[in-house]
Amino acid sequence: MNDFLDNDSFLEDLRADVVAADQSRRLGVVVAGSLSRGLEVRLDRDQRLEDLAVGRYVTIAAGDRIFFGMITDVSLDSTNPAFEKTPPDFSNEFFRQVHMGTSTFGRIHVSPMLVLHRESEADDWNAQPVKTIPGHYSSVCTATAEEVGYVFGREGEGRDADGRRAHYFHIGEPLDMENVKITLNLDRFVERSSAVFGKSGTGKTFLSRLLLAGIIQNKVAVNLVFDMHNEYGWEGTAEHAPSVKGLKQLFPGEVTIFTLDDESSRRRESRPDYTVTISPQDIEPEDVQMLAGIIGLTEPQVGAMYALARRFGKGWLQKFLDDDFIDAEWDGLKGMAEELGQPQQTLAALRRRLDRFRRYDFITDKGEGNSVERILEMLQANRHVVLEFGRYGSDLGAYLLVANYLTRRIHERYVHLTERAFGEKSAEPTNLVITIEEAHKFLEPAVASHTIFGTIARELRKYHVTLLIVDQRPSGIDPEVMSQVGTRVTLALDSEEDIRAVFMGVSGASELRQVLARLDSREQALVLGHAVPMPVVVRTRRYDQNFWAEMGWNDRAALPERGRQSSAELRGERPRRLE
Amino acid sequence: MNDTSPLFGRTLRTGTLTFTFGSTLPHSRQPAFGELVRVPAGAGQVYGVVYDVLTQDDPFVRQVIAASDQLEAEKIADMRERRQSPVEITALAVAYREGGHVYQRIPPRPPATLEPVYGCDDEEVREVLQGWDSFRTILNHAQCPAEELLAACIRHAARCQPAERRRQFLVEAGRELTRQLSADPLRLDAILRRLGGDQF
Repeated sequence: MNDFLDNDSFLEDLRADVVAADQSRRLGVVVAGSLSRGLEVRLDRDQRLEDLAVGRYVTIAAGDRIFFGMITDVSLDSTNPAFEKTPPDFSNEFFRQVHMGTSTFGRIHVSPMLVLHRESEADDWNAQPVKTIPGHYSSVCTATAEEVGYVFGREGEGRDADGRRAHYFHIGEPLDMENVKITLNLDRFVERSSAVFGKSGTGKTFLSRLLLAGIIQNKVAVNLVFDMHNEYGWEGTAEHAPSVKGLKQLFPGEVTIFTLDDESSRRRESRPDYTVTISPQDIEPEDVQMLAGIIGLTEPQVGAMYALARRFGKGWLQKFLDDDFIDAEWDGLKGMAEELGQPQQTLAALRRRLDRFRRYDFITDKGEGNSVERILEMLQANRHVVLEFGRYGSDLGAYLLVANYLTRRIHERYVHLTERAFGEKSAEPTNLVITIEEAHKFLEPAVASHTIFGTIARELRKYHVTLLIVDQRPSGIDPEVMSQVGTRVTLALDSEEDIRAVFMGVSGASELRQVLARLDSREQALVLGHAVPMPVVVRTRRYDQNFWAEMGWNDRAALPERGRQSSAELRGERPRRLE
Repeated sequence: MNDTSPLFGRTLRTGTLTFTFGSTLPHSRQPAFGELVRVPAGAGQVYGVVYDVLTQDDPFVRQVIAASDQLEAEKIADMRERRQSPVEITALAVAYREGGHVYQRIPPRPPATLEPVYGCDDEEVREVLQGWDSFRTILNHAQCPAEELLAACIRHAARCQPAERRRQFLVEAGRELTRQLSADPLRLDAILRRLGGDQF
């Protein structure tokens, strides 16, 4: 796992602790179960069902192994159905004392996730996925903070189970446990495409911003964020606070803000570094094709678009939308239609659909030069790029067009760079993580197969580009893409369909579904997949002043006060702070 | 085990499962239903729970009843004390002592006839009835009112506990019964009802 594992004496204590089944932590005994369905645990008599909750961790000592699992269901049971149908006379306290926990009792369902095992006394312990289950009547205990910390790895840099370098980033605390940090292996998080899901209002953006800050701070990848609602760059909005710091404020030297709408960015005092423009000359039919669903292009219209591009080459769009050009060349659309062999009506409809591009001010020749090149320069210099959409954020067409346009070209360059490196690690580009919101629009089954995002999700880390999908409707995402998503961070979801989609391709999904369905609607998330050793429910880390300070941000307003405190300490007027 | 324990009588008939002893003690000093008694058997001791107390008539009593409607209290008392046949008390063997150990099982050999039968003091009752193995023996005995007997026996054992432990003792016994009788909730309910309450 990590260097934590080398600490054998700790594990000896841990095992002795579990075997002794400390009565205060003991919950009950394993009475039934299977590897596929999980374990049934009968609670001890004095164990109060009300004190338990799904998502809590338990350890089970069995022979020379320690199983680590999660409570995924809680139920009531009795030794005889008659006790349910004709309950004993509970007005009599004696009856209550006798029956409770004896003839009627609670049981919990535990999904075993990991097993700590070693071959012999001399070997190191290692944590592996479970391949068997503990025997009958093994004691089940609540996991201690140390055990949870041990399984997930300590915050900071370390080594993973395969001995690879890993950066463990604190993402939250387990439910019902104080002072325990659940960490995520960031190297694994960026290695494959990842996702943050949750219905609106659950804090997807907060959590994504937190993860991005972790990636930036630990330098595990370089980010490109398509910031649809202008929440990541300079400043974000919050329901209960005036505003929250964006990534640029936390990492001023490492984050560059690009904007599509300079006016909006300046109004928000976002201080963008560059304004992105797209030359109409450069737009290719592939860039427009994925908008088919949004702007209502039919198959024949898409076909006509390719025919136009073949006929006119670069600049086809500009020419096609230019009335004067058409009148001069063909004396109207009819002549053009005849020459291209396309129905006139199709062309007319296509023109009406594409006409909206005229309203996009960012499609212009009067820009600051090639925006794609500029973004690539930044990324290759390991600077993180946040692209704000300004007012275009509410225009899904513009968002899709730009994200797709830029990503296609950036991905192409990464493919080129990777292939040129001929497998030589040092020459390969730094991993790029592209964050997209409303991801199902890019990845719905109808378009995923022919958009660049579908391709990126499917080819994994081959070309060092992965996605961070931020979405509220996982069910809208192509199952094939979904199955390639390595790490899924899921906040509360309502719809049964969405919950099902999150667990696509996950073993033991039916049990975890219970856990997910009962998450609080704020600040609780289920994390599962590549970057965590086992599925975990966390109370997410707050994206607040403390977090910003840990990321290295200094509150300028607080500086004078801190200065005063420091001088007071130096003069001995107040005790030193223990920091 | 205490030599100063009260002598209740001597065995009349014995068998593997039960033994019957005759007692000439006055009515008030006879062992109660559900009480534990001890009788030597070979080198060991057999413990039984009293479940039947039978006072049979004799020719003398019949004559007296037939001869007169009005009996003087003094005469009645006299006749009760000087009976021609003893009161027959039957106990169910639930445990035995051998080599210093108490086993809650049916004794390997029944006591012989005319063996003295003693009562048990609190400490002995606690020792013999600790653990609940004898529950099954009592419940399985067809010739006795098992639910009544078991409840009486548990209450007797509870009375022999220190006062502060009595309540907990009853609850623990109830839980063990609940475990053993989970397949028969009606029977369980009948016994628990006889155990409940603070009357021991």
